[in-house]
Amino acid sequence: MSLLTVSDLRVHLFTPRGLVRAVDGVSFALEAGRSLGIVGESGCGKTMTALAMMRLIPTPPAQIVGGSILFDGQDVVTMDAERLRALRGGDIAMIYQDPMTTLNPVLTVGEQIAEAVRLHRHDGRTAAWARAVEMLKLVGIPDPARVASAYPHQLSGGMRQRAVIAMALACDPKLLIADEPTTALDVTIQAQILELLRRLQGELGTAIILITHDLGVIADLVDDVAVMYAGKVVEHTAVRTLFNDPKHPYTRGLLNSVPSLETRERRLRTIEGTVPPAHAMPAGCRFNPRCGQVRPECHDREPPLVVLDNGSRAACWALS
Amino acid sequence: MTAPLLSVRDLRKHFPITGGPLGVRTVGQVKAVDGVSFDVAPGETLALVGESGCGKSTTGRMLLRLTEPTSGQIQFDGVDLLGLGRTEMRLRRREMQIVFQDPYASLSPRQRVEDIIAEPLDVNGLYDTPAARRDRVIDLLRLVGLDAIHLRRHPFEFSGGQRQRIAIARALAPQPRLIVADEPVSALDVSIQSQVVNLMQDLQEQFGIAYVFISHDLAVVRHIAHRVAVMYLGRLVEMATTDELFGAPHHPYAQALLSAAPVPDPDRRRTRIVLTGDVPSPSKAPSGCHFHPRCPIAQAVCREQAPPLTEVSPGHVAACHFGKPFPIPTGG
Repeated sequence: MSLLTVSDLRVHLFTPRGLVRAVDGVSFALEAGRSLGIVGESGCGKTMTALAMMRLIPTPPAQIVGGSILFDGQDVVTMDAERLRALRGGDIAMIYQDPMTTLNPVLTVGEQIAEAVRLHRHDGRTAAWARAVEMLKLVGIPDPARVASAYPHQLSGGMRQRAVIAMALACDPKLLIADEPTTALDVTIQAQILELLRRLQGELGTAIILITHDLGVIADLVDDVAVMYAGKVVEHTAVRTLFNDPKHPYTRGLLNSVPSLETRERRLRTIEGTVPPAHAMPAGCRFNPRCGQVRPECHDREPPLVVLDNGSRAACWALS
Repeated sequence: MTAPLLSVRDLRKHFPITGGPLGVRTVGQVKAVDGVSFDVAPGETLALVGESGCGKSTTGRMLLRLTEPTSGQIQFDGVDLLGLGRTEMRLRRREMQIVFQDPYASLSPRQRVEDIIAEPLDVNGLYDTPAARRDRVIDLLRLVGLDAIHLRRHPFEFSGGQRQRIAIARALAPQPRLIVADEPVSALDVSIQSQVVNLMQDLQEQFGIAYVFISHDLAVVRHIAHRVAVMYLGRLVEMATTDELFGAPHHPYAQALLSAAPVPDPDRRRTRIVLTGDVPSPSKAPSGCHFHPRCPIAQAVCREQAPPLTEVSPGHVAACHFGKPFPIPTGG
C-alpha cells in the first residue's frame, strides 16, 4: 500500500469574480521513502495541492470539494481535528520558501524545535532540547549547541532554512512537503540545501513532495515528477523519462523554454501566450489556446491521464 | 575596438553603519561596491552576475546615479557623469534607462498604460502634439508585442510578463543607448521569461541598445550576454566573453557558481562543487581575497592580500593569486 494516495482531489476557490477550480481532479500516489516533484508555473495549483495534504488550505475562500487523500490508510479530507493535529508536524511536516514564515522571531531556534518534539513525541524538556541540538547537528549546522540558543534573526538565510528542515524532521515524519524550499536562496546555498535534503532522505527514509517551478531543482532531487497546468496534472513520470522523453506539449514547451548552460541558441523557444485567467478557463483541454498540436476534440473534451508506451502518464488527445 | 559607450573606473559605494548612543555616529562601513571597473561597447550586453549582497544592483543604480557613488568615474559617451549637475544629469538619463525586477512595483497602479509609457516623453519634451504622443506610445506598445487596445488600461489588468513588456516600452520611449536591466526576468515564469529575453534581444538588434544585464540566473546570462562580469562581495572577481567564462572559468568562485546552477538534467546530479559556508555579510568582509574562507584552494597569501584583476588571456581577467585554473575537487 502506498504511503499517500491522492484520488481525484478538487479544491475550489469561491471568489467574488467567480469559481476558480484551483485543483481540479488531481490523482497521484507516493510510496514510503520516495520523492515526488510537483512542477508548474504560477497559479497551476501546485501549492494548493501541497496544502491540501495537511488540510491547511485557507477556508474561505478555498475548500476541498471532492476527492480523497489517503495517508497511511486514513483519509485526511474527513479526518477529525484531534487526529489532524497529531498529523501536522508529526507524520507530515512542511517547509516553506521563506524560513521566517515558519520560525517565531521571539523564540530561540532550539526552543521551537523542542516545542514540536515535546508535543509530538511527548519527550521531557531535557530530552527535547537534546533532540533539538541533535537535529541541528544532523542538518549540518556548525556549533549546534550555540545555534540552538540563537534567535532566528541571528542566522543567515541558508542557516535558517537548515533550522527549519531540522524542525520539520525532528519528529520523524513519514512525509516531508517542501514548497519551493530553495527559491529564496542564493545558488551556492541552494546547492547546499539540495544536497542536504538528498542526504537526509537517504539516511532517514522520509518521503518527500517537492513543490517547485524550477526544473533544475526537480532534476536534482526527486524520483518522480508530476507536471501541473491550470489545476490539473498533465504528465506524471519518472524524472529521467521526463527530461529525456517528455510527451505532453506543455512539458515539452516548458523544457524548451529553459535556456541551456551549455549551448547558446540564437533565440529561446517559448510557449506562446499566457496561462488563461483562473475564472475563464477554456473548454476541453486547458492548454489548447497555447498548444501547437490542437485537434478538434481538444476544444470539446478534457483529455484523461493515460499510460503511454514509455511508461509515462499524460493527458493529451494527440498522444492517445 | 570601438570607443566604449560606458566606461566605469574604480567605482565605489560605501554605506556608513551608524551606532553609538544616539545612533548617529559612524561606527563602520559597508563596502557594497569596492573598486569596480568595466567598459560596455555600443550595442553590447554586459552581464553582472553574483549572489545577494555582491553589489551588482548597487553598481547598476550608480550607473544612472540613482545611488550616488562614493568615488570613482563613470564616463558615458565620453562625458564624465559624476561631474554633471542635477539638470544635466537628468537630460543625460534620456539616453540611459533602467528596467527593474518587479513589474508589480515599478509601474504606478493609478496610471494608465499610455501615461506610464509616455512619462519619459513628457519629461524630456519629446513630442509636439498629443496625437504625436499617442502615436509614439502605440508604436512602442507594438514593439514590445502589445497593442493599441491596451492604451487605456491599468497595470493590474496585465500579467507579470505583460507588465514587464510595459516597463521595457517605457524604457525604450526616449530612444536610449543604454538600458540597465536589473533582474528583468527573475520574477517571471519560465515560459514567459523566454519571451521577454527574446524581446530584449530583438530590440538590441533593431536599435543597437547596449545592456547592463544584472542577474543571478546563469542560464539566462549565458544566452543574452556578450560578456560576463562575476562579482563577489563588492568586487569583480572575473570578467570575460560569455563563451570563455562558461567554457573556461578561472576564478574558483566563478567555477563553483557555474557548477552550483541547477541544470535540468537528472544525470548531472553528482558533478558539482558544493561550497561550504555562507556568503559573508558585506559589513564583515573577510581580509585579503574576500572569497578565501570558502575557497577550496586558499593559501596563506589569500588571507593577507587581495589579488588584483589580471589578464589570464586576451580579454579575460580574473582576481586570483593562482596563475592558472586549479582542478577543484567536486562534491557528492
